[in-house]
Amino acid sequence: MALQPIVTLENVAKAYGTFTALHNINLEIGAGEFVTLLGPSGCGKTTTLRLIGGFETADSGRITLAGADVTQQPPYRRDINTVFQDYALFPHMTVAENVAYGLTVRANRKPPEERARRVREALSLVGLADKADRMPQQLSGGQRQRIAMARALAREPKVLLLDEPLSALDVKLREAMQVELKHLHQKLGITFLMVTHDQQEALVLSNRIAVMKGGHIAQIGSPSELYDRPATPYVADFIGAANLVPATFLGSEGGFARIRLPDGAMLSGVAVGSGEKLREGQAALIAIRPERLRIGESRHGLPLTATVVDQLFHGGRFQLELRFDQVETPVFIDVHRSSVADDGAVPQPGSRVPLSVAAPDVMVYAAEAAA
Amino acid sequence: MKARTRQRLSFWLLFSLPLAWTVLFLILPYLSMGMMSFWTRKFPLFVPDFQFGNYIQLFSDPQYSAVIFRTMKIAALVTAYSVALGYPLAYFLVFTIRSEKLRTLLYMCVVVPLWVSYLLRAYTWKIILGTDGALNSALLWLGIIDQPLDIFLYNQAAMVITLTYIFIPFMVMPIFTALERIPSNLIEASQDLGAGPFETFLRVILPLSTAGIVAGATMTFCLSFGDFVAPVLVGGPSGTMVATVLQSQFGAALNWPLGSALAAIIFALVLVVLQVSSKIDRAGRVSMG
Ligand SMILES: Nc1ncnc2c1ncn2[C@@H]1O[C@H](COP(=O)(O)OP(=O)(O)OP(=O)(O)O)[C@@H](O)[C@H]1O
Ligand SMILES: [Mg+2]
Repeated sequence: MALQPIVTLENVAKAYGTFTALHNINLEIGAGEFVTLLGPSGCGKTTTLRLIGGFETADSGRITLAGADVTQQPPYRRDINTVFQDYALFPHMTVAENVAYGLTVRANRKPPEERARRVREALSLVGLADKADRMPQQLSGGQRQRIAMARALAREPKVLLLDEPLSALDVKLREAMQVELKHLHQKLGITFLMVTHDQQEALVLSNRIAVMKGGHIAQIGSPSELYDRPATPYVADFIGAANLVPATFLGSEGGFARIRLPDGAMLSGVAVGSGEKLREGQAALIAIRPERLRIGESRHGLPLTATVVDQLFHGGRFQLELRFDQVETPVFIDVHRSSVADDGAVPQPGSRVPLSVAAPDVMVYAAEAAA
Repeated sequence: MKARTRQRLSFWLLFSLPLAWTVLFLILPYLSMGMMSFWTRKFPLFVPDFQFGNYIQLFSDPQYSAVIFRTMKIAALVTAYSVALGYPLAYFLVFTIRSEKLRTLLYMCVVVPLWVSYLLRAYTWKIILGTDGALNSALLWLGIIDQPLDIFLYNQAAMVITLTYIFIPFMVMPIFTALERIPSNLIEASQDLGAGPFETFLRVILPLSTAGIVAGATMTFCLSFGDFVAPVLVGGPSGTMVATVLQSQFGAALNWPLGSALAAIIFALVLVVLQVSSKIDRAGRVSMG
């Protein structure tokens, strides 16, 4: 990584009793990056964040912040601030007192003028300068969320940790706050590490995404890397939508493979998912993004045939549920209404349709990697 | 119209019993107490009357005001010691004990004595502090003294100790509840913003548990103020409290009107305490959320 690392985790492990929540995590976050931890519930995202914030102690491994080992440091000695999921605003203090809190603690007491200035700046940064004298209970969820941001940012930390900061907000507000979050990050140049289980949010906001699974980091990379070159079917399925179809691996040359689908179709020149060692005749799994599958024959694409099972109306588009012969798992593709003459031209359930896909858009994985 | 009548009928059916109970056992006694406080005593009879002689006697005779002030002092001391001991205990239970089971167990240990006869618990201290009691035996055995001492029992200190022991659960319970209700992420937020444990206690935990302290203080104060068993068991002559005097007016002294007037004064004092505490409580109360 070109950037200077600001936070590093080296072989960090954490268990709760007999349950191992994190297995030897390695993570390096560059100064100024916006990194997202993404994964299903219980995969250890919050635990990772709490270890960095200092609210949990690692069982083994090392955590550094700006080059200094902070593994054993309590939270109040770390130059990091957290935006808590349910905001954690002090109910007995006004908004201004909440924001000023981190500037009045003994270890970091600022003179009154500077304190007032920073509180003002932080509040106007989140657009709530007029709410300074309110109590937190008198604010809406979105406003509390911003106050929590302002309170953390008033300390001008090196790193800001955010645990599902937007999850309690409704969809409209969440999307608006995503944009604000991105602008804040660009404006302040502070490193953001955010937890989310919303892949859309991760794709939109992050420089890099770490996809987690069962206490491991399954893959870390830029949104487009993860989307275009997922390391495992799990990542392919988690980031965006993926059609996963069983297949048989026949052999490969120069990084491109030949496979056979259960219905007998042979595909050659498909991409091998990274880090896979496949043997000839081994059961494999292919992943194809829905938007890479096209209805109709094409000169360049690989030809496939499937049967339409169902047609789902989504407003601007139809989603077709298809089945390949001899394959249980359904395959979904989108047909945009603008791309067909009229709705009647969309293939009806029961009809057989020819499909095509560009060979590099088919990714092959070992079947057991899906587990 | 019909539905309304039926509604009203079911309302009265539902509430008539509790209402009757309240009137019969709370309102009527208070009323008769208030009325009797203006009566005169013509030994051996009490004559209905309306005069302030009883109140004048209570306020002019220093013997009575001395008892009332002593009672307030003892109740205040009991309250202070209960906070001083109860708060750290509740804090320890909520924040230091990690295991849920152990915490429940220890909390039960605080509460369970309430199920033991109150008299028995007061009597225990008589046994501990008496001349042939546990304390004296221990001191003798240790060789610190060679004669049993009688300084431990029958004084105000013995009463404060006994009452604190008896009423401290009423202090621990509301504080425990208040502390338990503080979301742990507020404590984490405070640390996250740079406050160490002690500063976090002063600025977050303590302010958010004042409601519990006020509730506990009100209860221990009122309960020890009206106590009449401890003075008899461990108080001795210097430990007479207002309830003892009150009791004797209705008993040996046989002066119900004077006793009623004294009861009315106590009643008013308790109302003042409750009023003050609800003021403090409301000022300090914040909704969590
Ligand atoms: N204090 C704890 N004691 C015991 N187990 C815990 C504790 N905290 C977390 N765990 C367990 O560790 C695992 C990881 O938890 P973590 O909170 O990091 O998940 P997460 O990825 O943040 O999930 P979510 O998306 O639901 O918030 C979970 O299986 C959880 O049950
Ligand atoms: Mg979580």
